[in-house]
Amino acid sequence: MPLNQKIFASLLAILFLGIVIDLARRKKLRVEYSILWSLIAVVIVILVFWYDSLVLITKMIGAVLPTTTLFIFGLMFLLFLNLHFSVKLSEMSEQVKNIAHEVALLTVRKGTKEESS
Amino acid sequence: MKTLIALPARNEEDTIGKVLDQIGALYPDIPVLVVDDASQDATAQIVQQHVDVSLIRLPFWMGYGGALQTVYKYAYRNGFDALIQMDADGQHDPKSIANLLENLKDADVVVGSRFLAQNTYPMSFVRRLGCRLLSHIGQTLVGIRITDPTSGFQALSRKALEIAIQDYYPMDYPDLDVLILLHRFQLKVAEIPVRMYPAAGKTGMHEGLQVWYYAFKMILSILVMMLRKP
Repeated sequence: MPLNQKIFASLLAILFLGIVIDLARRKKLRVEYSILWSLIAVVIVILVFWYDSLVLITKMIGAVLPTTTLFIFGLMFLLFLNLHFSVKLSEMSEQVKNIAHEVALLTVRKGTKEESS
Repeated sequence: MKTLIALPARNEEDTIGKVLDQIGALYPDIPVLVVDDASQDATAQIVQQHVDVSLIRLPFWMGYGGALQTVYKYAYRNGFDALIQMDADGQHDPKSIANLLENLKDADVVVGSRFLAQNTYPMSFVRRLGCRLLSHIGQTLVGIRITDPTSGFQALSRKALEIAIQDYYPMDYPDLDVLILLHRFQLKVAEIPVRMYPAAGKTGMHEGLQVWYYAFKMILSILVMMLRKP
């Protein structure tokens, strides 16, 4: 890997890490998620300084170019992340539904028929 | 048997008053509840004019399943033994309520079927086909024979309510998947003929492009229900 590529990738990773930490600091991002995103930055740095690992994985999965390996794993990561968010959204929808039910049930106007029964 | 008649309603100002009057005249002793699913018209105001009717207003549009589950939770928590659920658009004939309740003595869920009755109710070909297909799926998978699985005119026992208030109750288009769910909990599902009328000037939940979403969702939902442990 040429030096300028290494410098560019490292700067990108540092910038990304900085944004993630800043978002967590300003409470815009939960710490649980900031851990995940920080790991991405760490992975980029590892790949920059240990490029042979990427070449090794490329050979192991039968890909021709290391870039293919990067794209495959990048896409897989985004796919699973989206799935994870869908799970979280489902959970939250359920919670919102239950809260709405509770609020609605608290504000019931009982009819005279029901009150007398 | 403590009974409740409940109507989930969204934008039904044209029909709800008449439906409530009919129910009130036929069953003066049975309490009636309307769950207003964040209507944008005068539905809630019309219900408020009926002082004998209970009213719950949902804070936002939750859909048919969301409104129905509100009914179930209300009926369960207030100790009702039987619940009649029916549409507020005048599609369901309140005269059939007595028959539904009578049959609830031998079952946990009684579905009112438009196909078992002598009706003149015109239904689109796609929907008729869908109903028949769903009916076959239900019979093949769990052996329940329901000719009208999309019917919202039903009677439920307290045992059925106990299951319907759980989180796994589906929020949109609860139809055959719910009946399969209840059947898997060893609840008896029966079906009787009821008279239904076409809803005036409205597109039903199972019409138009939504049909395809409905079909796909129902297949998935049934599959998931079958794989779950009761």
